Amino acid sequence: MNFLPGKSYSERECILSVRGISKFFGSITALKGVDLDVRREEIHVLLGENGAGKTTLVNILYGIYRPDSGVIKVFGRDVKIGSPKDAISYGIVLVQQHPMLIDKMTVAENLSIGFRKLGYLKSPKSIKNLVDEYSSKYGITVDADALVSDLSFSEKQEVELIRALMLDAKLLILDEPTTMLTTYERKKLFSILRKLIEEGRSVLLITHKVIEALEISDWITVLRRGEVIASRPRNAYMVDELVKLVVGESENVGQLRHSELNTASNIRQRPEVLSIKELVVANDVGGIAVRGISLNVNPGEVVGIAGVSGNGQKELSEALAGLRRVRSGKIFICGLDLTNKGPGERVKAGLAYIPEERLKYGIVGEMSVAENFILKSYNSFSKYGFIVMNKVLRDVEEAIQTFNIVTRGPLEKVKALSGGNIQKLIVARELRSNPKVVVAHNPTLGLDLRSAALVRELILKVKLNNSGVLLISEDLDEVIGLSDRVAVMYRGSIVYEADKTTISRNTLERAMLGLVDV
Amino acid sequence: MFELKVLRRYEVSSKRKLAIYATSFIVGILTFTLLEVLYGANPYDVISKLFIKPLTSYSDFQVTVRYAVPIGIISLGLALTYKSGIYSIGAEGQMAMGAIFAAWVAYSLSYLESPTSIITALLAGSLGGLLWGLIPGMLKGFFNVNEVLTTLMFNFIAYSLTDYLIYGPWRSPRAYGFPLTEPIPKSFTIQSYDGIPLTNTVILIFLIVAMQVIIKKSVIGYQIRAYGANPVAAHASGISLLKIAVICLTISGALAGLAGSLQLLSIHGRLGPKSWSVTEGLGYTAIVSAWLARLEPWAILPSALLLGALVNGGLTIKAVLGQPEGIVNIMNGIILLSIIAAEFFINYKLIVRVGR
Amino acid sequence: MIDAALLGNFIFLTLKNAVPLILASTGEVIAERSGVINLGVEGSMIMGALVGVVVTLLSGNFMLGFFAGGLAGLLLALIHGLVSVVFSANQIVSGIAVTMMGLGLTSLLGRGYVGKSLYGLRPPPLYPYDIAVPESLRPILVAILKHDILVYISVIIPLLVTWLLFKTRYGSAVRACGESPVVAESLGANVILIRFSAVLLGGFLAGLGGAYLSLGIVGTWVENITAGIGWIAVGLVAFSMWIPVRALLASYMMAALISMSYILQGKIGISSYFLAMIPYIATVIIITVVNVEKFKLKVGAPTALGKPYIREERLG
Repeated sequence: MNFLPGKSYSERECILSVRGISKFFGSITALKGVDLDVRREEIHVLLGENGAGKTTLVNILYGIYRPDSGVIKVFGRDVKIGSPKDAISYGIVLVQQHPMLIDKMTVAENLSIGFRKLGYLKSPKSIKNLVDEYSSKYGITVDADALVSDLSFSEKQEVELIRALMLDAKLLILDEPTTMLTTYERKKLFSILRKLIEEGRSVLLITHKVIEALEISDWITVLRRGEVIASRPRNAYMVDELVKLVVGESENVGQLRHSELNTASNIRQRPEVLSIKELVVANDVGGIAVRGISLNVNPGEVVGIAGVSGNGQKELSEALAGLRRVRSGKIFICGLDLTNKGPGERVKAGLAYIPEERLKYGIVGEMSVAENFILKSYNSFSKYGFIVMNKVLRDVEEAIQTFNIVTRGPLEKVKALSGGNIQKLIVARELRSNPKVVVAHNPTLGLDLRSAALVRELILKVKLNNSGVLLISEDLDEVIGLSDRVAVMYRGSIVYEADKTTISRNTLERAMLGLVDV
Repeated sequence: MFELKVLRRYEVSSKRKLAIYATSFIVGILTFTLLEVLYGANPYDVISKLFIKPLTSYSDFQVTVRYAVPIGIISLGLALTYKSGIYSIGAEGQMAMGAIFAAWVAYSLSYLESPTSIITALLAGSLGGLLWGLIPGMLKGFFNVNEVLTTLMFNFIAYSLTDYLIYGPWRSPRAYGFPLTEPIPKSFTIQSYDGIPLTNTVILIFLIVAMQVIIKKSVIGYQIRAYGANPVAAHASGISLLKIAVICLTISGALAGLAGSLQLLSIHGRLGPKSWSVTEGLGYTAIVSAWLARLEPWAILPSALLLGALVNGGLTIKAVLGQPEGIVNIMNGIILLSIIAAEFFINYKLIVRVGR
Repeated sequence: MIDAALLGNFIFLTLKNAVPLILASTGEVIAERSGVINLGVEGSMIMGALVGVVVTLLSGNFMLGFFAGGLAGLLLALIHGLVSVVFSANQIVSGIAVTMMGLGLTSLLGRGYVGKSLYGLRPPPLYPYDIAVPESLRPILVAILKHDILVYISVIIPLLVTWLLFKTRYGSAVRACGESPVVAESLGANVILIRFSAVLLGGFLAGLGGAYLSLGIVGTWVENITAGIGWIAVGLVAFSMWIPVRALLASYMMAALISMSYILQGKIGISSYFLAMIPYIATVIIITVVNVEKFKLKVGAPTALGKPYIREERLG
């Protein structure tokens, strides 16, 4: 099952061979001296935690980033991959974590777009035969006439697999494919992959789940902090050893500090600062994203909502901020019914919002640091309708110092700042007004470790100020570390709720996958 | 096969920006000249008439200023509006309404003495333009209705209204059958000094300063700039589209109305159709002027002068080389295209690779 | 009782007046479905109007004239496509600029053709024979049957475009570009090329519509012959929710309004100048109505409409 009997590894032809790949983003080392070989008919797992550099490597293989040094060989030939089109021409196809399909169109229509042999004027339906052929061959069950918006996540993923086959993929890269799958769907995916490699293809599977890696792989390469820690055939690993290799030293010393701050809690019961009752929110494609959630946040409390992204968190957070209409249900902020009112009124009521998409919702890139700082509080700096810049600059300077924001000055354009500093600015701004309730959605996403630690600290400080925090985060450790109460969101509902003293990480993980023992 | 690659530039120096901008403007002028040449004109002739004379010869400069002032006033309002990301093209209609309101005051309140008369008429004209911008503003603010279409439709409605008045109730019996209104009373006329409409120019300069202060330092200016740069984030912070849309469209409407009434009171003296119209297509030229100034109030002064020169030159070419009005439109279009293409080249670098 | 002659006249005018609207709005549906707003429609239309007349006069063949008109519209739209799709500049300003150019160019180039007669060269009715039917019905049948071929073709065009958009691979690619250019690109579409082609198609149809305006309706070239029809067509696109057959119906609706305001001139007490405002006011009303939230049905605008797409090289 794992390798061709009778052949030693080095002799088998390598579909992909990578040597000495390094990538730096300013002072941050994303990858350093990475070597990787993917052989024919091999399921190769790239295993590592979030931030280990897996995504960066994939982006390089797919032509989205250019490596700073190193060599890539496909079938022994030196290649330069300058764009996804290049990658595809070498037979490398990437299936992203979130399916890249047009929801309003059918499967056939989506797949026909890249199928040049069809010509321009033929009906997309004519590829139905091809789709059916692939389906039966590999055990994929996809209806070519189905509307993509009607498909489940697993079905959409299968469409992506067919797309890769139609592109004549030799190396299939799958980025965290199982995060949204049920156990049954996962097993189905793995059996499909097994069938795919029987025809000479290979699979490079990116994941952070150790168990899964052991389940499906022929070969595992462990990546940690941008470097290859180990690369061996699957059978050469012991489970515990593998876990240690992935995780390294016990992580997050900062985590302990959080726990310390966490014990000094001061939760009062009433009145709630945020109250959500039976909230129903639609998504952008005609379906329902939030299915009747009820939740309360008390002053001085951090309520964490854990869950894999795509289960309605985005819609929930937007509805709370006033950026998305609510189908039914109610949102109360400090006792005021602000259900479908605009963001302005929520700001006035004491709501602060730290959005996931900070560039889109959080800052105005073209404006200066100072101008962004007053985005919610400009009225307090105004006199007779004019903004008193001196006062603004003073406050901004203070914030820059306090929050350690790295910038050339308050007049620098915000878009020039790094992600971490932008987030610090946003947090500084939101907290300046002493909000009663803070809604934070993935507040440390993409941040370097120091900035992330600082943001988490700030969230805890907010708590100590008797404000309430609703923390919506994909980072389970973060949720566990910061929250007084944890809820798990799955397919739009809260499927599990517990106090911090009674949570177990395992239960939470299972709940995140929809496996709740009632 | 050739391949087109687009690279984003990160740091763009002001020098480079200016260079690209100036180049695009020149390319625009040259394209226009080329067109003229193809039509049989002499290129040197064209450029000199278009550009050089209107700016250098004193008598021509007066005419240039006469055009530059209404263009400047209107483009101030347009610059404010475009900064917020709202694309109003209704200046023509707002000008026309401004002239109508001002004319109404002049005819109905003819007993007023100068300067009260003039001030009243100008205020009325501003009100007329304001009202004409208000409705599209409210439609945009409440329902996000495409302001390009609404303001344009309102232009046509204003034209029809003007036609109705000049062919109908306001038609002058003494105009030998031409559809013109009576001239406005002397007490309402704004004098020019030595050919230059001084009062108007002063008004323009005052407005430029006021607009610069408003945009850079006031709360509403801040909200407009924030909204224009990132409407999503601005909305998330509580800045309301309704407020922005209504304020921008009423201010730009009022300014266009003011310009229209100034045209009536200082230059035309009466309302008339097409070739004698108060608007003279300046509402559209002002659009180009606003973009050329990159929506900065202080830059409107040179920009309006430049465009005033081009309008002046264009009309000279029209008269001398016997070409119709449309010239100015072509010029506007070409220059506008060059300007927005320049925006692209400022932010991105284009690499064309031939072969594989 | 309604006067049959009046009714017949009304129907006749409506069917005729609708043609430029149908062609231009259907063309714009294609462009907007791919995610590009083309405000240069008015410019394309007027270029088509002029070129249609000129080529017909020069060649003696009105079909050639139509085709040339379409080409003229296409060429103007090419500029818009270049600036707003290839260079990803502001789509709205680009369209306005292109319209200005079109208006100016036709004013310049059309000088010698103002009012020139097209006697004998205009498209003839398809059914040349007399209609032997009782007098009361006759005007109505005349109104329907005695049109030139283009009126009938214009009914088919939206159906063709529907087929193109929903039943061909090209149409799938177009719609994908309009929904999410990033996804479309990943699915294998060359977004720039597809959007560019959609804009060109739209320009061609707009040019055809303009050519019919001068050849079929007015009968000659006059300056500013379009008088905002192109803009009205853009408004109709939104009103028809980007569905070609709905654009067809919406065009008939608008044409009916235009014909009505024309017929009523002199007949009722309202000045003709106010009647002339009707189409413009109607356009404002219909685009407002479409936007009012309650009326927003499941079919909305193409998600990526109006947003420039730049296939960037990340300097990462």
